[in-house]
Amino acid sequence: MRSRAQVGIVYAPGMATILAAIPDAFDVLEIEPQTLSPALAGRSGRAPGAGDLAEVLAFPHPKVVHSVGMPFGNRARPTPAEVGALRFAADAVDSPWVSDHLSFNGGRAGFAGFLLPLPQGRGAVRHAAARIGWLRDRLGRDVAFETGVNYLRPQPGEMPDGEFLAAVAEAADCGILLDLHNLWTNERNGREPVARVVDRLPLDRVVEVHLADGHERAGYWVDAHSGLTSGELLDIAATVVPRLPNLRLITFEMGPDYVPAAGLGPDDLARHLVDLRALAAAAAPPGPPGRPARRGRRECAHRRGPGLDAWRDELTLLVNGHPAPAAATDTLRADPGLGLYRELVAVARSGALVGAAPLTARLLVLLGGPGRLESVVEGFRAHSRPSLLPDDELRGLDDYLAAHPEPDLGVAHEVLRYERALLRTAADGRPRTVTFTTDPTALLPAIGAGRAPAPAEDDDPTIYELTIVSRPVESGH
Amino acid sequence: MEKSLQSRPGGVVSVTIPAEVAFDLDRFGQVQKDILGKLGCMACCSGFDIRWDFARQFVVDSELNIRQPGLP
Repeated sequence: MRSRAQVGIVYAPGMATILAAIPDAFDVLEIEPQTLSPALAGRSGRAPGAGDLAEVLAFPHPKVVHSVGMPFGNRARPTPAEVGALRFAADAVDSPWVSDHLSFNGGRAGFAGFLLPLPQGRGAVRHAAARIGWLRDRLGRDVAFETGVNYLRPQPGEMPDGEFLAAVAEAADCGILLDLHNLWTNERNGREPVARVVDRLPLDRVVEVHLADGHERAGYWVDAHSGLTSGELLDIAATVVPRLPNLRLITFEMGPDYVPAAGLGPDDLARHLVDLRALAAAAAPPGPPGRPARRGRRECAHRRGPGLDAWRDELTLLVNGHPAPAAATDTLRADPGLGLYRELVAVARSGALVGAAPLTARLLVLLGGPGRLESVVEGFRAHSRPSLLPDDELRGLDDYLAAHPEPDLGVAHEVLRYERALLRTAADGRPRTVTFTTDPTALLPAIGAGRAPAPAEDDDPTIYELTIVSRPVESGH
Repeated sequence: MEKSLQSRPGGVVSVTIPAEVAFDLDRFGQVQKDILGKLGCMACCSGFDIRWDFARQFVVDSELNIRQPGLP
C-alpha cells in the first residue's frame, strides 16, 4: 500500500456484483472475515481455507482486514480457533493492520446481540488496552481500534468520549480507526461533538477513517450505513483529514441491501468515491513510511468508572428486554437510548433470521401477512437469547417451532428445516435430507415467486424426502 | 434442475438437489441467490437491519416480480 492515503470500500456479501462493475473506483477492499463464512469466524469446526476467501480474492485490490467478531471490550478472550481464523485471513491478504471495535458484545450474561458501548473509565481502558496488545501479539501485525457508536447518554463519572479514546490508544500503543460517522452519530444524539473528540485524540495514531451515512429512527440518528456520505459529514471530514499525518486509508461503508433501496447503482458509488479521493488527497503529508511511531504504553491515571463486568451484564440484559438488574444505576435504567437499543437488537436478530431463511419468512407473510411473520419471530425472540451466527438462530427457531406447534405452521417448519439444511450443507459439504408433506419442487418455487402454496390434501399420505448434496468444502490447514 | 424423482414403496418420493444448483435456481426465485453470504456474523453496523423490513413488506407485482420497499 502506498504511503499516501488511499480510498477503500467495505466488502460485504452481496456487494460483489456492484464492486465488480467499478473496479477502478477504489484502491483497497476492506474485508470483514467473520461475515464471509463460519470458518472465518472460527466457529465451524474446521480451519478456514482459501475457498472461504474466494469471493474477495477475486478482486485484485490490496485488502485490509476489519474484524467484527472480537471487540476489545468483551470479557472472554477470543478462542484459539477465532484468533487462528483471523490470523489466516490477515496473512492471506497481507493486511497492513487489523482492526476491531472498542465495544463489547459479550460478557457473563452471554452474547449481547449487538455492539454495545463500554463504561468509559479506568477499568475499561486497561481491559481494552490489554486485549489489543494480546491480539497484536497473536497476529504479529499492528492493531487498531474503531471508535464506536454510543446511543446512551453520558454516564455520571465517566470519561468524556475523546479522553477515553485517547487513553485507550496511548495505553495500548496502537492505531486508531477513526469512524467519523460513528462520532457524528454520537454528536447528533447528544454526546461529545466530533470536533472536541478529535481535538483530544493523538492524531498521529489514526491510520484509517470510516465514512458512511445513516438515518433517523425513534428520534435518534442511527449508524445504518444506508447511503452516501452526506455533504455535512464530508465537510467535517475535510477539516479532520488534513490533520492526520499517518492516515493510510479512507474507507466508505454501505450495506449492500441499502444500495438498491436508496435508488443507487454502481455509477453512483463510483462518483462518490471520486469525492473521497479528493478528500484523501488533502491528508497531511505522510509521516515515516510503514507505521505510526510507537511511543510505548502509558499508564492510565484516569478516575475510576463503573465496574466493567457489572456494566456488561446490566446492559446486555436491559437491551434484550429483561428486567433491570438490581445493581443497575438509575441513570442507566432510565436512559432513553435503551429503547432504541432494544429495537436495534430485536431487528438485528430478526434480520439475521430472515436473511438466512428468506423462504420461510416469505411463506409466513404469504400465510398470514406481515403480522404472522412478526408474531412468530417475536415469540421466538421472547423465548431465546441472541446467537452470534445466523445458523444458531435458525436452530433456535427450529426448536421453538417444535416446542410451540401450530397447525398452519407445519409447512413453514418444513421449509425452515430445508433452509437450515441448505446453509449447513453449503458450509460443510455434508449431504442432508429433509422431509416434506407436499411436493417441494412445486412448493419452493411458488414461495420464491411470492405465491401462496396450494393447501395440501389431507388424505395424501405421500412423504417427500429432499436430499441436498454439495461438493466438498476446501480446507486450509 | 438436476434432480431425481424416485417413487418408493409406502408413498415416499425422494428428491436430490445439489446445494449449488438450489442457490441458483431461477424457479426458486432470486431470493436465495445471496444466501451463502448470510452464513457469517453480522457486519460492522450499529443501525437498523433493513432485511427485516424487506421481509415484512415484499410486494409481488402483476408480472410476479418481487419488489421491495424503499428506505425507512
